[in-house]
Amino acid sequence: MNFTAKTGIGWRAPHHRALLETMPAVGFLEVHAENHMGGGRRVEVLQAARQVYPISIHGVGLSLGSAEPIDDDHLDRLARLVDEVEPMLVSEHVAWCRQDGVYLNDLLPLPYTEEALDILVRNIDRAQHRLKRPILMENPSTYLEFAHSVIPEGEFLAEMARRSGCKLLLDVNNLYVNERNHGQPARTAMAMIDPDSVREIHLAGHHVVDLGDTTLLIDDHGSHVAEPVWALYAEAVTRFPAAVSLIEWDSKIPPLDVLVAEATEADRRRTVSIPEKRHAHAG
Amino acid sequence: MPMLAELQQDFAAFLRSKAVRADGLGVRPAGLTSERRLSVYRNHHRISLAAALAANFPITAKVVGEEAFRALAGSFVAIAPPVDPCLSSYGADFAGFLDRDVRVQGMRYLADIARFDWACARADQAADIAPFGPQHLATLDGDALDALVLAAHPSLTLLRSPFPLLRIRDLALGASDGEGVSLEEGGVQLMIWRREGEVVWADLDTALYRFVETLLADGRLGPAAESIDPARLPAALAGCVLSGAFAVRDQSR
Repeated sequence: MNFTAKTGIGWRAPHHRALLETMPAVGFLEVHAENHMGGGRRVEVLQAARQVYPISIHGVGLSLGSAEPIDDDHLDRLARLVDEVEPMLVSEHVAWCRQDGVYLNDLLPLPYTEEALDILVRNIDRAQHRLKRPILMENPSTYLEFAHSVIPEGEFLAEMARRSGCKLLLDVNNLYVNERNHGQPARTAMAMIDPDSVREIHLAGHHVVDLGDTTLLIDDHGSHVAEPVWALYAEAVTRFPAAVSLIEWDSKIPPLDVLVAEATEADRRRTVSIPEKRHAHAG
Repeated sequence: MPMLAELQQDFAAFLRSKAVRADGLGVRPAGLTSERRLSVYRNHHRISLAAALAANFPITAKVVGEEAFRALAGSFVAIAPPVDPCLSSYGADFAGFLDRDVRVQGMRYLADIARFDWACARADQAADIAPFGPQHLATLDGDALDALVLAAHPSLTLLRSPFPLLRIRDLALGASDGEGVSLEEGGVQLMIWRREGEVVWADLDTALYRFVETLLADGRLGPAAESIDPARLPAALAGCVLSGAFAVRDQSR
């Protein structure tokens, strides 16, 4: 079986046993780096999963968007985990999460400025040098914009990839959330990105919060992928053919068969989208 | 226009304190005020860290109730915020914080419940080194036995409390018959560790607890054996030493 041609799912504690026992045909497993650092039992269980599935390591704690220096100890721990697990991909976020040594437990937004881009590129370079491989950087969902942001999101991501040599993890749910929250068209952002730079696509559910005078979309990874996000996905798989796909479902985690069915649905939509588009282009 | 370092400093201060205002962060107020947009992040910061702490202290959270736990967690996060993105290791000082917090002075046992939670979390996550077991003992002759030095398996914690922690735990989890627990009914002397992948504990009597303490302090079986009635030595070896709670000291480094 060519695992990586199929959509992956997250490696979450409630599913560990069922995954290892039933071995459903998903493409790969995405592991949250910070849940598996420092050795211990979780890494042992992960080693069992690794015998069956390719692994992608997804970090949330490097704070590559921080103006303060990145935490070398944390980078070292990530490097050790990467050595232990030999993942097919390593990814992090276009965000920051640490200030004055305090971990803030969120993927916080950056202003899209030349200064932030320089800092991000410098930090990505440091991480890639230590990890001895290109990493994937994921576009965040955001609930605010800074008035002094001057670079459109798509251009910021494309320029970050061009300057640092990193690849992109394009979260189409995040693009959609940002489109609804800020009115920036997701398709415009996608059109700015070099097709070869995207190596993974994330799909997830979001939550719509009614605030009376307006609505806000919250990226909570707690439900099925919404139809407008599937529509974006259909375009993304066509534009970014080198990308593998992954379903993120981290809160209100469903039974494994529901998650696997969502991944199968992503496979189906990819298969349907790609020939149609090719046909359209040929015509 | 704030430079990134200054922006991040101000943003972090806003997240961490309700007393800090959003002015100066330069948030575009489209549709919602900047304060409300920023509050999405401040609420997430508060709720997610309380949830991370509750995951590490599940029985403590049950005992005090969701709302009270969130309030306690909020105060703890303010004075001892996490410095490590690996949140499974967050809360080492939480029990000490509960010892001092005036809101729970009427629940004198609560800090020890938190110590029990913490010991269980450590046991669950500790390194998976090979424990000392019967198969090792069988290969040792007299000299090797004399030279043997044991250490706690990384998953082991000893916890002595004047309060009936296990009964309080059962009541909080709904695992007992719902009768109240008297704080006067006696304390516990626990060893908590991981055996074959499961977190387990044993409530030891004073002689066994002293035996385990002696073994932990010295590492050699001889002095530990001398600390206990010879008639109880086989049970002490089987229940405490050969049950996965110890490792050969060299292996544990």
